[in-house]
Amino acid sequence: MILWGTPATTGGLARRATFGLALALLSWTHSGVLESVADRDQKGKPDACFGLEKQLRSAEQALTRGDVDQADRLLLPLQSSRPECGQILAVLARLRASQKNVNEAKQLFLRAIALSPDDPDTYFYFSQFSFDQGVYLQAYDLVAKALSLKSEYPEALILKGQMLAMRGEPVAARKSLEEACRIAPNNAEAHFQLGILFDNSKLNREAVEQFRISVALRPLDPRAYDYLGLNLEALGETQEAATIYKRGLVVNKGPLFDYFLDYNYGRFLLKERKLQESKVHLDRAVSLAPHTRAVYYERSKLNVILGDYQQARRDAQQASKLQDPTGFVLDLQVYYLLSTIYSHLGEHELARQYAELSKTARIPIQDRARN
Amino acid sequence: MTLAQMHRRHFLELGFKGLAAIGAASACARKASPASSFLARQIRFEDRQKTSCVNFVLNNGTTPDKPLIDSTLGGVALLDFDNDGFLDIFFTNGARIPTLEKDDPVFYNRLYKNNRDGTFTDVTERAGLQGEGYSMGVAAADFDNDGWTDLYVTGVNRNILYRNNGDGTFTDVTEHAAVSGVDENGRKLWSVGAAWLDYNNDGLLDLFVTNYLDWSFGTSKVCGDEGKRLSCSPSLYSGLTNLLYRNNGDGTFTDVSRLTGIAEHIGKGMSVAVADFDDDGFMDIFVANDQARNFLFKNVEGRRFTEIGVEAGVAYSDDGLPLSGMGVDFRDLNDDGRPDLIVTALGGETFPLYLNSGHGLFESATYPSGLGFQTLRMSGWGVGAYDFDNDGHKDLFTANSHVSENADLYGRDHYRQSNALFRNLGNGRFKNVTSQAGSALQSAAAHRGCAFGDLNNDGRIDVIVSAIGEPAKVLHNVGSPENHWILIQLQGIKSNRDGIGAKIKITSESGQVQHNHVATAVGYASASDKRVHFGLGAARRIREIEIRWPSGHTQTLRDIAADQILLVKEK
Repeated sequence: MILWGTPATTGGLARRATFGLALALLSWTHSGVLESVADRDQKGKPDACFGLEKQLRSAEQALTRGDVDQADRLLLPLQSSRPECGQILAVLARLRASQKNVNEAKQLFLRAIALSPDDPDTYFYFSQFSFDQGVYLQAYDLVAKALSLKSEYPEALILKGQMLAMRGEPVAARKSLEEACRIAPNNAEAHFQLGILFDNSKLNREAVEQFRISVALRPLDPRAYDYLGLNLEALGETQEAATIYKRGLVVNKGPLFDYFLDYNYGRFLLKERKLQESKVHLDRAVSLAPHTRAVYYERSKLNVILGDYQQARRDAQQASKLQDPTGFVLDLQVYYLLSTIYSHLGEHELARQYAELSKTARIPIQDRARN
Repeated sequence: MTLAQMHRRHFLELGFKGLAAIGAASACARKASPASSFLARQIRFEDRQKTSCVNFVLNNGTTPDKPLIDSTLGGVALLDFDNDGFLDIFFTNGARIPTLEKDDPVFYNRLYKNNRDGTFTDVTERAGLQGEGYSMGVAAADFDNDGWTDLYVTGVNRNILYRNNGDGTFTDVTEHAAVSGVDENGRKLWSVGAAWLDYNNDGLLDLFVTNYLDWSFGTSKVCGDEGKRLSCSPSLYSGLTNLLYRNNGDGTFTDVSRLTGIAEHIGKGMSVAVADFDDDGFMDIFVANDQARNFLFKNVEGRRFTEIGVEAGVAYSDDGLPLSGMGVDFRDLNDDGRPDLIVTALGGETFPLYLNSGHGLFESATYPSGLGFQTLRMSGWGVGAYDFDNDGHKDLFTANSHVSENADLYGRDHYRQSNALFRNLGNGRFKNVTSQAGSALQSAAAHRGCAFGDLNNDGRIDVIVSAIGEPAKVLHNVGSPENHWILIQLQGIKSNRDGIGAKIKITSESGQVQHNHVATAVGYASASDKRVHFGLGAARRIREIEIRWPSGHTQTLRDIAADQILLVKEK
C-alpha cells in the first residue's frame, strides 16, 4: 500500500530519505523506450481520431471521476471502430492502469505512441504511469518528450520537476516547477510540489507561501495542510500551525487521505505538552500506519512523559522491530529511547546495554556542507 | 572582622567607584513594593563598544575555500587581571591562513584594561598577550593560587598557559607546565574550549581541554559551490579525545587523560562546563560535541571519570539525535539545588535544556520550557545563564550566527544573526524578550563567544560578545535598576583560591532560595566573571548564605545586606 503523507522528521532526516531515492535514480541509464517505439512502423493516419473529441472527453471525464465501467463502455466501441486512433488507446491505457492492469496498460501506451507519435498527452500519461511504477528513467524520457512537443504543459512540468528533485537537481527542479506555476497559476499541484521542493531544502518561508496557495486552490487536500503545518512549526508559528493541522484533519478523507497527518499533529501536540490530545492523535497514527517505525517511536516518547513506562517500552520495542529504510527514525534514536525507558523502569543492565548500542549505532552523513 | 566590615574594607581597598551606582540602586529600590518577592523588570542592553574604546575585531583570516577553522574561533574572557576590582576583557583571535601565524597585529589576541570610567585601554603588548597560532578559546583562573588570574588560551596549532606576574604582565609557561595540548604521541590537537576545575579537591586547579577534529590543511575538504564555499560538516572528519591536566602544585601539570578515563572517549569537543551535578562533592564535566553525542563525565571521587551522557539523558537532542553542540552553561536554572544544562546548537536543532531531576538523570525541558520553538531557527554559540533583571531567576543569553559565511547565498538562512535573550518567567518557562531588550540586541553579526560579568559593578550583568569581521559588542545592562542583587567573591584557603566548585545557596529575606556555584568556563570557549551573581528582586537583605567549599567545609553567613560585592574567605 502506498501511504500518502509526510512523516515529520528533524535534523534533515526527510532529506535523507529523498537522498536515498536520488541515489537509486543516479544509477539509471537511458531508458531506450522512445527508440523502441520509433522502430515500430505503425504510425497512424493523421486523421484517425478526427471527430472523436467529444467521445474521448466523455471517457476521460468518466475515468477522472473513477467510473471505470462507464469509461470502458465508451472506449471499447471506439477502439473497434477506429483502431488507428492512438488517443483512444492512450485513454484506454490510463483506464487499465487505474485497474492495476499494468502489462496491458504498458502495451496500450506503446501502441498509442506508435499511432500518435506527436501527441504530448500520450507521452505525459505514459510518463505518469511509468513514474507510478517506479520506472523513473523511462518516466523522465517520456515527460521530456512530452515537453518537447508542448513546452507550456504544466502537468508535464510538474512531473519533470518532481523527478529532477528526486535526482538531486533542486535548481532545475525549481525552474521546472516555477514555470508550471507561471503557466498555470491556479494549478494547486504545481504549488504543492514546489512547496515540497522548498520544504526539502529547508526553505520554510518559501514553502509556507506555496502551501498557502495550494490549500487555497485545493482546500480539500489534507496533505497540503500537513506540509503547511510542518513548515509553520519550523518557523515557530505554532498557533497557526495548530490551526492548520486541525483544518487538515477535518478534510482528511478521500483519494488524497494523509496517513501521517495524525502523526504530525500528535507530535506537534507532544512538543506543546498537550499530552492527552497528543495521545488521541498518536494512537490514531499507530492504527493508520501500523507498519511504520515513526508512529511507535513518537507514541513511546509520549508514554515516557506520561509516565506509562510499560506502554512506552512496548511501543519502543515495536519500533525497534520495524525496519525504517528511509531513515526517518534511526536505530540510534530507538536505542536511546529504550535506554531511557529501562532507566525509568529500574532495569539498569538493559538501560546500559541500549545506551551502549546507541553509542555504536551508525549515523549516516546527511550533509557535507553546513548551509 | 564581620562580613559587613570585610566587604566594606574590600571596597576601600579597591578604590571602589561603583558605590555611587549601588547607592542609586538602593535609592531606586526604595520605590519597590515590599510585598513583591521579586520585580519583573525589562532587560535592556546598550552596546557601548564605540565609547568604551574596545575596538577588537575578530579576524578569522578566511580564504575562499572556507577551511573549517575559520568558523569556530572567538572565545572571550572577563577577568580582573590587575585586581583593581573591575573586570577586564581578553579576546582570542585567529591568524593568517594557511600559515596559522599571527604575523600581523590584526591577528593578535587582545587584553583591554578596564579604566573604571566606562572606557578600556588596550594593554596587550605590555601584558605580552599577543599570542601565537590560530587561537580559539580561553580559560581564566588563578591556577597557582597566588591571587592573580592566569589565562589558558586554546588553539588549532598552539595552546598557551600564561602566568599572571601580578605587575600587568604575563609569562608563557606552557612548556614548563606541560600543558601544550598534545596527545600521547606528541601531536598537537585542535583545541577549542577549556575549563579550570579542581577535580580531585586538592586545592589546586586542574585543566580540562576540549579537542575538536582531526583536521589539517592536508586533509581539509572543500564544501559548497565554487565561489560560495561553505563550512564542511564535522561528520567528514574523525574526532579527538579531550585532555585533563592535573595540577602538581609546583607550576607543572601531569596529563591524566588516560589515567582518569577521559582519553577513552573520542568526541568532537567544542565547549566545556563544570558542575557537581550529583552533589557528591566532586565536580563533573560536560562537553558539548559537534555532531556527536555530548559527554557527561561523572567524577568518581576525584580519581577517574565515567562517561554517562547517554545514561543521564544529556547526550542527544529531544529526538534522540546528536546535536551540533556549540556552547554550554551548567547552572541551576530552576533553583532546585541541582545544576541544569543549557546547550546552544545550530539551526533546526533548538537549544536543548536538560533539567537535572536527581538520581543521575536529566529530563529534556526544551519544549516544555518554551525554548524549543523559540530557538528552532537560531544558530547559537555563546550562552550564559544569568539573572539579567535581578528578579531572582536566571535568564538566558545566546550569541548567535550561522556557521557558514556564505549561507545567505543559498537562501536558506542568514550568516549574521542577532543575539537572543530569554527571560526566565519563574514557572519553568522562558520567553524570548530580545525584541524588547534594546537596539543592541537587534543588530545581526557573526557572533561567536561571549563572556558575562558586571563591568561597572552596578549589580547588573553585562555581556561581551565577539563577532567575526566586526567590532566586538560591549553590552552594558541598562535595565531598570530597582531590583536588588549581590555579587559574591570567594577566596579559598584550603580550597583553590578562586573557589571554583564552591556551591552557594542563598535565602533572601522573602524566603526565596537560589543556588549557584563558582565556575568560569561558560558558554562557547569562553570564561566569565568568577564572582557569583544573584538577583534579589525586592529583597534588601539576605537571610542566609550557605557556602559549601570544595574542601568540604560549609560556611554560613546570616543577615547580609543586598547591593554589595561580598568577599568571603574560606574559614
